[in-house]
Amino acid sequence: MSHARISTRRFTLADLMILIAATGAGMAMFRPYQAALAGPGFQNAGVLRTIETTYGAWSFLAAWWMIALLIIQYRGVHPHRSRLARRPGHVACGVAAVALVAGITQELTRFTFQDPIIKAFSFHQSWITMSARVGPAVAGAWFVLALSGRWRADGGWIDRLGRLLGCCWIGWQLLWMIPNVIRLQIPPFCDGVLT
Amino acid sequence: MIRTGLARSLFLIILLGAVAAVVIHNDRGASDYFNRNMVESLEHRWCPLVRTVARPTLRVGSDFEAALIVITAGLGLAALRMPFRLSGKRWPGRGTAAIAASALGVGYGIARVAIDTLMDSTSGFLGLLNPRFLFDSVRFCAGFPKGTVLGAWSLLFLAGRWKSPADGLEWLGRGLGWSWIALIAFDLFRSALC
Repeated sequence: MSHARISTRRFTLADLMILIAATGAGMAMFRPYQAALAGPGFQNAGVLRTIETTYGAWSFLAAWWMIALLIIQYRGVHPHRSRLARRPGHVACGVAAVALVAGITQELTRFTFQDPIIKAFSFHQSWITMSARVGPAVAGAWFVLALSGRWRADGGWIDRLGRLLGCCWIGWQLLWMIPNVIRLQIPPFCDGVLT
Repeated sequence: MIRTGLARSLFLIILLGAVAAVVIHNDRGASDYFNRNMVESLEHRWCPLVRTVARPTLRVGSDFEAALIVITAGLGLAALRMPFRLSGKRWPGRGTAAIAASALGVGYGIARVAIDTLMDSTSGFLGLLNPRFLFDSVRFCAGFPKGTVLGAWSLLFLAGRWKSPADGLEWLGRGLGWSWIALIAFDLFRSALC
């Protein structure tokens, strides 16, 4: 199949089903995360709770959608990986998956060796650790891709969605550049829902 | 471009001096943070060998992180002053990619620390009144280059461009990249302990 035909690949029913499954998986993981935020062990009530809830709401979805996009991309006929590696959307999904595997390995190590009496398990804290490297990984990969002149954004929906999700991860990192005094002015809309 | 041997030597001396100063200062914070109480809390869970090596290993790991941050900043500056081979329509080598990506991560981390310190210098976690300011800043900054190097090298691996010819700066960059990846592995050890 030619490169042009692959780029304009249509959105099929199977793609929709894969994305719905990914959405379901993300929402299922958001529930224990939200529960951990509502618990008494969470110290940063108010604004920080709102920020953490917002992070959980989009990041689970983004992580699962990125994995789903990789599956969708490789499911049918696809260009060679050296060509795919020039597409920023595909690159974002690929490196996000690698960063998530590194984070999950770290959390599994902690879970295996840590004494539960000394430190209680928190799904919220675990997800923060697991997903901590995704934003920097996407930023690092895109930085090298852009500097090397190999950035070939594709017009297809898979690459566009991948780029959007990559931007979300980088945007979240940039949000933390906003000084505390401004960031803490966000209205704490989640407290009424969680407590 | 660093044209003369004298300029290169001077740059190297300044870099080594900065590394030594930061590592010595960081080690004070590390020895305070990884104190005997923390090691005693490990007592019931680990064999005597692990208990013996845990504290010095965690301290050395933290000092290594501090040294790498300074080296990354130095190599990033050196790469900027040299004819940077990254530009142009060709895939960069692993070393060049590692230098660029880790410099991005360190730059972002330093910017975050600077903003937090300037905006909330008295009570913040990264405030100047914090007695372990440098140690906490190093711990905070070190997370970002690990992620950016992981991302950049994953890209080269996915593209099938892992192998490439290497020269002086490329070799240094590869060493830098492997050091950051080794620190990801060290994070596993740290996660298991504390």
